[in-house]
Amino acid sequence: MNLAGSLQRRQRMLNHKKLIVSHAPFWHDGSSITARSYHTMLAAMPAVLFGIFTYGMPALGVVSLSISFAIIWEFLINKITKRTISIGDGNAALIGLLFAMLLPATSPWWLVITGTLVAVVIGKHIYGGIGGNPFNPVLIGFAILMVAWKDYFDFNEALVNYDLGFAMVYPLAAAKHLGTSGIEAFSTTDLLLGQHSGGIGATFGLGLIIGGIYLIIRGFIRWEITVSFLVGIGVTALLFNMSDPSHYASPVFHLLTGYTIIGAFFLATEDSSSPVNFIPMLIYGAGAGIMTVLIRNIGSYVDGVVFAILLMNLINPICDKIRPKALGKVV
Amino acid sequence: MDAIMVQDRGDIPFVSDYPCINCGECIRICPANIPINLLVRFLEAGQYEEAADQYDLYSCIERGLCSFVCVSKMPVFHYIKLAKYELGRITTAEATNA
Repeated sequence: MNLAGSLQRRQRMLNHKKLIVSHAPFWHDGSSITARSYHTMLAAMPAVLFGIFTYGMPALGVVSLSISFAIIWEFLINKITKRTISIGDGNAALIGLLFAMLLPATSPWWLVITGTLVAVVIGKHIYGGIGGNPFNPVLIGFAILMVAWKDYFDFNEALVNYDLGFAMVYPLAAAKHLGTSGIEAFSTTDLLLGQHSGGIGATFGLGLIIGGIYLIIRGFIRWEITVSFLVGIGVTALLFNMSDPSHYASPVFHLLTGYTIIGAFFLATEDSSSPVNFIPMLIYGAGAGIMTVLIRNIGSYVDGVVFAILLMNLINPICDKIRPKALGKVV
Repeated sequence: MDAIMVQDRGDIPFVSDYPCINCGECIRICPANIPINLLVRFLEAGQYEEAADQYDLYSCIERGLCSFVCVSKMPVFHYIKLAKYELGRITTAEATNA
């Protein structure tokens, strides 16, 4: 705390003194949390805009309400805990956007407001704010709501009044209840181009992949997690599919439906709740992928991405102990 | 080498008191493989001995790349130098008192 205090004093002094002595390094690469958040939001835009065009005004309402209330909750909790106002770093807005992307377009207003409250306050701020959260805040908010009000997250019920020119049955629910005969209507191209029902920003696979690749190239997310997550899902789904092709869907179907792609690029890669060393990142991603398919194929939930990632968030601190030997260490 | 560098106010990289967000940039760039994301949490709390024992404080070869890439603009390198200095003071005091 002393150093932090002295830094703030130094910051203030900078504005008054003509000359001050400072510590190396004397240059910075220019990265910032704000830029990181806004670029992630930008990368999510193709999928969000597609969702708004598909589902119309209700989707726009959910997205706007979610982002604004995530920011409002963050502002209020900053005030209550008497800390620096941190809405400027864009992280709250990002939580709001990602949360809205998972919701069905018809979510009622109170669901969005409660969800963002849980995500921002219980998911992030009670652990000390950005960087301290052991779980992905978006997924905490979503999981608590999904357990509490199950019916609103059943896409078949939620989107029953939409007729968009493609089969409105939720692909994963069809696969779970009817086996592979129920999902013949969904071609790979349809799934990639968002011609299936689902969350506002989770259906447009191609848009999410483009956004995700942008994030990987710019270095805003760690590609190891994304790749191992997708490989984990692919391999596990392939094994299930080989054992009983009439009952378990193909790996391609699992890779393109539900929250798989948004999970791989936007949710599993959340900074604070995922590992940073090479081998732990592979374990984390692959573990989440395997758990996803296990929950989808064997468990009672229709989609497993949310719980699989939360579960792997739990092992992150232990997992990250596997690290390369530091310079000069022999043991 | 002794030198005086003079930078304009606008050119000085600002530091902040934001916490580590665990983005892993410093881990990727550190030539000495130090777990900086964990180390810096101990240094912030002033737990220098734990930092030296468990999180490889003395493996640091002081290139300052961690501060250069830090997304949170933490003065990571400043923390490391401070920890080494404080630990050095303790050792000197112990040697004098012995």
